[in-house]
Amino acid sequence: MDSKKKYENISSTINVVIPLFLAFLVGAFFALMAGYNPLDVYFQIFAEGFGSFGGIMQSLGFATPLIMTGVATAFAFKSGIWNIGVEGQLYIGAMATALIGGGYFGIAELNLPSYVIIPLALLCGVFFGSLYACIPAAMKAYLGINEVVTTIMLNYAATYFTTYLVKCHFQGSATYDSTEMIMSSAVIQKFNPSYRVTWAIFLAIAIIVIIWFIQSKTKFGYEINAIGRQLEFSEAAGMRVKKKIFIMFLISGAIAGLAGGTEMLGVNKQFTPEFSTNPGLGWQGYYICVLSRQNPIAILIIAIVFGAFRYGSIALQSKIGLPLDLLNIIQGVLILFFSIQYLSPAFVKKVAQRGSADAVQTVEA
Amino acid sequence: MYDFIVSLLYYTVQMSTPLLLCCIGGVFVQKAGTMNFALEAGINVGAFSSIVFTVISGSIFAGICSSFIWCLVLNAVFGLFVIKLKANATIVGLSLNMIISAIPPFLLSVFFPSRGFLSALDIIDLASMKVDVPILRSIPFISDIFNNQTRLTYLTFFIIIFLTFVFYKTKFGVYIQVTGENKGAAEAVGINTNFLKWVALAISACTCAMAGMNLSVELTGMFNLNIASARGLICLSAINCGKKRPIQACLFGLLFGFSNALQVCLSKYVDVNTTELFKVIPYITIIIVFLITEIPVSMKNTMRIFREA
Repeated sequence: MDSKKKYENISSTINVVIPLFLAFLVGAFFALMAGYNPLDVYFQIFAEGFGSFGGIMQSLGFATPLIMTGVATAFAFKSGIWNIGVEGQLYIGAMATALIGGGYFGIAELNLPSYVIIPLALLCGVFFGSLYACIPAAMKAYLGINEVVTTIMLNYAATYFTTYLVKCHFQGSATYDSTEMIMSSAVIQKFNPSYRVTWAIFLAIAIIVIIWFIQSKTKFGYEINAIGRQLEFSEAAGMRVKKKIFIMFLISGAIAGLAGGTEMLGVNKQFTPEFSTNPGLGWQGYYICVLSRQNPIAILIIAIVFGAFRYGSIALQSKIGLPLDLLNIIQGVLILFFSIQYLSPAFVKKVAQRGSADAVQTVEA
Repeated sequence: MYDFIVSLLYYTVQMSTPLLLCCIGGVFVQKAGTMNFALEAGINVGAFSSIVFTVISGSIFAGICSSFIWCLVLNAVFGLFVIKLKANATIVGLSLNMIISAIPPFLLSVFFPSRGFLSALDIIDLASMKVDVPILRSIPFISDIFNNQTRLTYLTFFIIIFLTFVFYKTKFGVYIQVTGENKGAAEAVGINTNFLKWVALAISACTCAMAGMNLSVELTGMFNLNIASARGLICLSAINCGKKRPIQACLFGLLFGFSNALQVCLSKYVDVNTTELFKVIPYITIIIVFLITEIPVSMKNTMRIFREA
């Protein structure tokens, strides 16, 4: 048994190392094409992201929304649902939070203290995020419509709809398309004004812990695991699969809305239609979800690494003019190569069996 | 009012062309049992490579050739991962979409002046792209709608007829249908399903290339980052709504083209800011069409067991 586990470990290591190598190889090709030294580029991105205390703080700031969107996608993924619509739910949640935090609808006159207005604004984001997730959720759960297509369509709809709302109804005092600045009482404070990271990172970590607890310690978590593995069996065993799928989608949307909300109150401080582009926080959440294989700890680590890469690439873009798109290419290629099994399971099993047979023989001898 | 209807129908024909091209090719892949999310990437590649190589070489013909080649390469990569290496088609399709959406801005910002768009208008004469057909010219109402469309629009009509014929009346088409209905049975009678999938991918690559060229070379003469704007996914929806049958898929493609045209035509009557709201129309249409086509099916479905979408 031991050696079987060993070979499985080797196999999963290979399945991670080869895609990483290939992705950086493809990235190096593009970097060379643009006339940069790839090793130098990678070293600098790494040094910017992790090299100093300030860099780490910035990286954590970029990682905060990614942790949440990663968890949002992964939580639904666990039960076999592809919630690609995190991006759209994030937009709607961010919009709602920015409106409450920005003091629209007469909220500014109430002079609510911080400990009321921040939870209120975030709850609003959560509510509208999950409300927006209701549409694909109902379509998936009760009509069996492929959720990938509907959620991507709703992403586009959300982007255009929020742009319309900003332009026509909630235009702030700035000259570009944006809502009013968040009221000072509603701002989630930063640790240090010069770094991006805010107190919201603890919220993100708390969510990871809660989701881990739900997944591994509760009946609901057991059921969603079962649904993800064998849907027909779960249905036959008497689980209410449709209702569970609906709830999963709502929770996923709620976390996505929260991610948008904290981004609004902590970092951006006003809603602009471009706040999550290239390729978008929700899309990166999907990357993280696939790469982590829905393991909470892995989500945390990969989100921080992704945050560091993002910060490093942005710093590099302003420093030597290397386009940020290089990072997006590398991330996409990484996912692409990550989707294959490099050692076939049959091969692993065979090797493992031979290994254990050897072990038995040595014991007998 | 007459003007509105005429321009609406004219734009419907124009806007449907890329959707129809993409649909009719995508039907083959979809019917052969592969969920092809890379249609979106295909349109992007077709549009981008045709413009880039037109600008580099100075001739439109080179752009057209490269568009086909790169689309075939893209679908070969998709096929390599999905058919040969047995990866999850959804993950591969979505990551190809992401890679393809990141490569044009990278190349544009490195080699060309602007990151967001690339114009080939000094090589491509947009006016010459529209054809004045002698037969259509003299028919009053029809000429307003169908005359002065681009070449690929007319070609699309024949491509649809041809590929529908292939789908229903040739050995290859029937084999594809059998593969879609029951892959195990198809393999049992000795059909090489993987080969069929490769051919289907090649067909889809060619139609995607044409759809991309229609959008970039023929209609605007330039490439911009948002040129595909989810058309590939719209086609995927059309194919699914049409239950993977070519004619039905094309009808849904027309419907989505109509909703696009509606958005364009209505935008002329309101101020600039409100046009943002109309951009939602095509996407909402898809959601509603999904609901309308799927509710009767699920009403009929009396079993409690889930049905794969």
